[in-house]
Amino acid sequence: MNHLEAHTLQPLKFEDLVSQYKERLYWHIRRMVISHDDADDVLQNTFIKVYKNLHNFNGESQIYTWLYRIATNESLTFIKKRKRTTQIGSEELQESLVANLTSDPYFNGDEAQLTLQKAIDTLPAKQKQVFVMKYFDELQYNEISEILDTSEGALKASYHHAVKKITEYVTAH
Amino acid sequence: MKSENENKNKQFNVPLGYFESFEERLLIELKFQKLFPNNNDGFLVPEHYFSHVEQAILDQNKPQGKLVRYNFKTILSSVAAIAAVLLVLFYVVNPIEKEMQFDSLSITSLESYFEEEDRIQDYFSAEELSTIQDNTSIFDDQSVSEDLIYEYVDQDIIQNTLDGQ
Repeated sequence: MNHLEAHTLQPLKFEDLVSQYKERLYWHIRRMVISHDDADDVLQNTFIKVYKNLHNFNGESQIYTWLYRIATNESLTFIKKRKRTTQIGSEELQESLVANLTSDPYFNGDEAQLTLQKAIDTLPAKQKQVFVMKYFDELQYNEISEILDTSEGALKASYHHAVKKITEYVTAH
Repeated sequence: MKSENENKNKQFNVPLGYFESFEERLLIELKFQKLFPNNNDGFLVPEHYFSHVEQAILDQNKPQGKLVRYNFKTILSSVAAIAAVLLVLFYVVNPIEKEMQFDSLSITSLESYFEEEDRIQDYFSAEELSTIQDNTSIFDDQSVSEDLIYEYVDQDIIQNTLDGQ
């Protein structure tokens, strides 16, 4: 049985969800917010929301896509809040976060990986989401489609454009 | 003559420009795979982070440990209730005057209305105006009888009505 379907057949236990999905959700969030401390905050907020809304989960979608959607929304909300607090543009803020990776104790990427992060941050928000979900999280298009409520065709086009832009950026730098 | 493959697949379609763009898309993907052969992003987490965070999340969400967080709906309903009480109090302390009736208007107010705003010409004919000017004010006599008012205001209407009958 696919791990994504396991919880649809039995009552959902919050402890099991945390145990089973904390790492995958963490990495998804981390790639959106970049810093470990921020990812930690957003992960906890995500599970608080899950805890409060678990009784509303109707099983129409897979549990993992439901969790993923909450994590994505929490990450975007966090990024917006941070933008308001710091009073600087989101692009500027992302640039500075990526630039700080070189001194981040929780980043050990080489020069190529740092360039990749910089390239990802040049992408429009939607393309970035699609790229991260497909390339790093290795989600299927049908799963991404459910999470982002976008057609698979549009997602494929979005991913292709993202790969093209990243390749061009890396080649030029 | 169409090729055998083309005949076999005539019931299937492909998106517009699919074959024309296929090579380009493939080359981009291959170039990307060559640049980044694995999807390692270089991010790390502190040691034992995932076991600690699991415990922290479960502790935060224990049923007896209520989370104190801003609830926008609760705040909004509280503010709305306070505003409603203040509004009621305001009207109790300062009741709005009853709707103005013609009877409640003072003669002076009416006089001022017509004179200050220069509206008198809109309401009276030239002949009536000359009468008014001769008598200084139509409202000098504050004990104007009801009959006289009718005579002034409804003279034409009554006449027209009578003529019509």
